[in-house]
Amino acid sequence: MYRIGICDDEKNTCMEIEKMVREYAKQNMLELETYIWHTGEKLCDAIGEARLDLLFLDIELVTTSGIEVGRFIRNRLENHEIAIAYISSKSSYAMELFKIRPVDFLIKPVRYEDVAEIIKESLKLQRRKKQIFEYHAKGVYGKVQYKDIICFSSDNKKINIRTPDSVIIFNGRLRDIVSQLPEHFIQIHQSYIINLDHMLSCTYDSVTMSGEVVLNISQPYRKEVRRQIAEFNWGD
Amino acid sequence: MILYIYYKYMHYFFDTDSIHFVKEITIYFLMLLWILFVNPTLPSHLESLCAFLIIFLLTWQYEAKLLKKLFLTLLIYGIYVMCEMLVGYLIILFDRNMRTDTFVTAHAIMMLIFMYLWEQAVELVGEQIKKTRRRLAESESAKRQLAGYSNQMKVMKNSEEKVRGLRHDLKHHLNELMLLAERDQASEIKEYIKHMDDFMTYSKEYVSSGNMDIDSLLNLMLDIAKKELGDVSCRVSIPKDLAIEPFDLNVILGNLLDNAIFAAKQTKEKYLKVRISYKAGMLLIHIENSYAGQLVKEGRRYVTTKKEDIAAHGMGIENVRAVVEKYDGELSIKDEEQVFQVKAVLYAPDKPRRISP
Repeated sequence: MYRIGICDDEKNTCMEIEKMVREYAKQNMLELETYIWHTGEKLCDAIGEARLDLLFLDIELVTTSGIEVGRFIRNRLENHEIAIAYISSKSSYAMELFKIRPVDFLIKPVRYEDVAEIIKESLKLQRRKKQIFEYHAKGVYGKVQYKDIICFSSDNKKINIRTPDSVIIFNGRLRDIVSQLPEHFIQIHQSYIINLDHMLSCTYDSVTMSGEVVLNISQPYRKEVRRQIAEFNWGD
Repeated sequence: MILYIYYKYMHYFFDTDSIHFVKEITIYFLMLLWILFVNPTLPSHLESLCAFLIIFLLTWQYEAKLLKKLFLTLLIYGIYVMCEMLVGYLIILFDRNMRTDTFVTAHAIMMLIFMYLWEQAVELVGEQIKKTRRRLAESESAKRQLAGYSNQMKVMKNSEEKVRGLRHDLKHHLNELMLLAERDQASEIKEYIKHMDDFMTYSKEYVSSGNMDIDSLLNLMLDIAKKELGDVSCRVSIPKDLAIEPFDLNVILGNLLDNAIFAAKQTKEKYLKVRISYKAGMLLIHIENSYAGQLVKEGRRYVTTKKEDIAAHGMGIENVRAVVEKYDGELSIKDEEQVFQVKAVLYAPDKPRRISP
């Protein structure tokens, strides 16, 4: 079941998007539920329980703006999993919006192809996040969803998996696991492998990950990291 | 020593990024052995022939056209011979009755000095030529920027005028809509509103990201693209206060789009796709176009096949690369199944560091 939320103060836009979402579901045999809100406050109250996968969110909501709602979701609820697609009638955006890491932007009047593209992209993203990493080491066996892995780091023949709320440690070497990881994991240092889905910002010599973890990209890896980032499919 | 000078020449003229360091050193070492042990046993008239051979062999490890290798070998060899003559002449001028061992040492040292000086001179001239070329490209890009701005002015003025025109007639439009509504003619109302919408949006404003520099350039280039191509799409979602100098963006987008439009024009599909987005503090540029026929590739580089401006031959992509490197970014070029794909990443953290031109 895929859960899609729509929040816009123009009731017609909500209806329009809902119609398109349902159309997409019908065409692609996708089971989904839709939830509609008309103000940011109501959305903020309900979002904790709604367990949404994708949210279409108007930027220009009257009382609580789309940016504030986005901040509430990402910073207060610390929910980094909901894919947020911003809706706006303008195509010019403030820098603040990008800090909420939206998957995409939708311009009014909304077109079916764009809505379909966003759903497709967010489904792809979700599939990628739900894949599972398994590890075996000397009688220890465990598994973690890729979405929970911020980064792998290694010291002394041990691998640490950093997740938002814990660190998992098992015996092993990064070079043995690096080849089995999907392509959104890249090695930036002899002892770090990062998950691009958890990368908040990036410069040529360091990355900032979720939880404000700052990691250095070591000299020998820089060129390769840049290439991988350039060629990575960030989704259009 | 002389080998080091050869090495500098090679690195100046060839694309040496793809060469393996150890392999390279080994080859030079082999040549060194040759010079130290084989050369002295050969009769002296063969010595200069050997120099020619060594240079030519050294060029083989680099990726380049045969003609270029041959030309470079001749150039270095020519310089070698000239230095040899100069040194011989100088020695005769100073002291005719020099002892053999002092002669050999003096000869060798002076040879090295002259060869080194020549090498430096060649590099200097090369740098100058590069600079001139860059300046040429810069003025080209400034010209484009100016054209972009004036186009943008026109676009903005037109779209402003349209909105004003609509507002002027608003009362009339509302009356008309009211009449239609009273008669419950929904489809006509729809039609009428669509008309108003079409009237309001100026057809030449393809991009309005609020980032004046990107908008002006893209609107200009896309207008050209729409005229020449069939399948053009463009999506830009970036912050309007992006910290990248307009001039640099101009070099990147201008050159890449120039190339893309030129290549797509010659194909059946006439396809161009432009996506510009901003993720995790990075500006991501993705341009795709259809292309026909073969691309000329020299080493890792693509050489443009544009005939009209030989002066700027292959300079476009090189300029783009230079700007991308300025932002510590990366440029990745791929061609698959008649689609040419360029992806560029620029690191543009959100602190504005913009300097007005």
